[in-house]
Amino acid sequence: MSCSCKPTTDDRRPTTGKTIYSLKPSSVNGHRSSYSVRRLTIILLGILLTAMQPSEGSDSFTIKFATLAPEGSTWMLTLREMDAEIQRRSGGRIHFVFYSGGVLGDEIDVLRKIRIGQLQGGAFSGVGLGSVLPSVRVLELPLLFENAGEADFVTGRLEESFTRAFEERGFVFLTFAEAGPVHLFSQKAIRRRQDLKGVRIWTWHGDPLAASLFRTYQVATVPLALPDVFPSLHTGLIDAFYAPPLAAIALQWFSQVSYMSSQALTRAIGGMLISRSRWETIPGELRTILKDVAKRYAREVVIKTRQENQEALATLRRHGIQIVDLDVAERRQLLEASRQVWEEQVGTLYPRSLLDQVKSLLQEYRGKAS
Amino acid sequence: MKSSLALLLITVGVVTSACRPIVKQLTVSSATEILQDGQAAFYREEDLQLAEQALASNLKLLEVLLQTAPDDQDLLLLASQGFGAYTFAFVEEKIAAYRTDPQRASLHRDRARRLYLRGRDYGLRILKLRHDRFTAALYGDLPSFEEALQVFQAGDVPALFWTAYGWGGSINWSRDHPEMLAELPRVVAMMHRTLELDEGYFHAGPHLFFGVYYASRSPTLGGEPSRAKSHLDRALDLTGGNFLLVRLFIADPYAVQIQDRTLFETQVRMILDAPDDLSPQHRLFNQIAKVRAQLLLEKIDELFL
Repeated sequence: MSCSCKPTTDDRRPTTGKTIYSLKPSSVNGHRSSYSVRRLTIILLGILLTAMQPSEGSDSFTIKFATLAPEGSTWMLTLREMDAEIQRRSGGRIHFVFYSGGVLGDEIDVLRKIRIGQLQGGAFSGVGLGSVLPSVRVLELPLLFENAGEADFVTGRLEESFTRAFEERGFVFLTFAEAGPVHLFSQKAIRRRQDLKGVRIWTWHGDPLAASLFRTYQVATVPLALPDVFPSLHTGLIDAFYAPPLAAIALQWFSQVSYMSSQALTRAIGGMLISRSRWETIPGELRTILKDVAKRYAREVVIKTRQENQEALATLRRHGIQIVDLDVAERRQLLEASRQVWEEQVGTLYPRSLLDQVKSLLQEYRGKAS
Repeated sequence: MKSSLALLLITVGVVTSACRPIVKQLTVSSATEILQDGQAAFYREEDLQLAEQALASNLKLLEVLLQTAPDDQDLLLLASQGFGAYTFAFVEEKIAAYRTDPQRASLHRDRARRLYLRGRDYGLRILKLRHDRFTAALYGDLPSFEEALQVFQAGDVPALFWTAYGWGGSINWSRDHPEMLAELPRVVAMMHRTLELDEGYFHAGPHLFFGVYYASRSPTLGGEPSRAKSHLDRALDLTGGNFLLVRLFIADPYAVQIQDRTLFETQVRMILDAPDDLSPQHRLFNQIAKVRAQLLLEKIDELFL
């Protein structure tokens, strides 16, 4: 029995001339006059409607906001819910326009667009936040936090001072929202330092922290921009990378490796920034709504992302990725190398006082927890 | 007289009950033929509301028939295609329409995910019935899965395409589900095989898939706009510009991804201005393209900086 869903011959016939992206004359000729009248009507209506719109700045505030998070991801779904609530609570006076999935470029491009006023805000990873305020990277030091509770405690205590520092640099820091624990993924199992011989590990181009850790650990690194990671894994230019499990799946990088370290190297931070000059045009009561709602939804994102990273681990296992434990002795060595990195970055990324403060907060939390 | 009538009734009754499975099979077989022939009528329908209701009833009828003939490959293919086409045409449209109402959009996203999966599963049943090697590799590692796809030949293209289409559609609406996202490389592999075997299938469907696949992610996240463009150009060539969904995908995601507002506006305008009788056999999809183009035009300022 033949299948009626087969295409007709017409469907398959290649066109002779190049009609790509241009209107075929035959498709409009018969409608020329009605087309022109309609177009004129649309233009006139457009002018009329534009004239009737309340002018921006008098009463309503649009925040053009960019993020690398793809449409449909938990991040974007939550941001859209956040926007709906902000609109509801502000009586429609503030609303966000989202440019998702990196459509406006990487984080550095987005920061530039905020600075020149094309955009008013964005969500950033540690690399983006760190390019505005390097000291914030203290929260991403390798092997600093042993669990989410520690990260939440220290981050919470430091948020106010980071907020002030961002403000001095022209940004209003709305809230933190972590991206999750970062693990090492590789094509061969890595249990001890010898296993790293010959391994070529990717580092995010322009990320001083990862480069410093691997240098201290004497591993060959290949700095690459994000788009080059997947093809480079495929061609063998690199054979290891680091990422939160969820990102390894979302970016499809996991399909190129067989092993993942059980030890998290760090916890990736994230956060939302708004341009300070835009912020200052928004009345106080609306700023409060914005900040309160953003904080609540950021917390929701963190909780959901943590769940998804757990689910991602299970998925990776199902897809044959083996989770590898470091030898106990090796873990000690890695911790030592990490501490060297903490020291190395003093005076570069952050002042000693900040590192000391982080360590003492950690002690405080661990004391309470034990 | 009375007794002969009774005899006749008894005879008919005995014959009918003895032949019930055959009668059922005959009914299924004629219904399948009618449904196959009727599919073209669906695609020629211009009234979207009528098409939505009719297609929905048709899908239930298919499922009823499949209870009698669970391995009927023609029925399975109609169901796989039907669920894929219905979800694209009428459920995705609601997600787009409720973009400012996250809760309602979420309901339709869940529907899209589930209905696409139903389409995928009907298609998978055909592929499993045809090739044990594929069945064995389905949940194995990716290289074995890719290798097993080589068993499929030109005659398998419809089932392969609609299975991958349903699978891809369900993943597209499950970006917050890591276990679903991890299956994307399998869908891509299936579409690659479809493309190799018949690039023009269903209005250059495999090219449209890759056009959207490469354009819907930014280069930062692994998207490749130039590859997207090659596929969309080829789809436009193969369909002779008569299938307006190609232009819709050139507008969004391609033009949006490269932030080319002029290209976007040109394509949307061409869709909206295209005559209703541009191509009668594509009328349903062309009408859908017009509705979507209108929605896109309304939110143009949210798409371009």
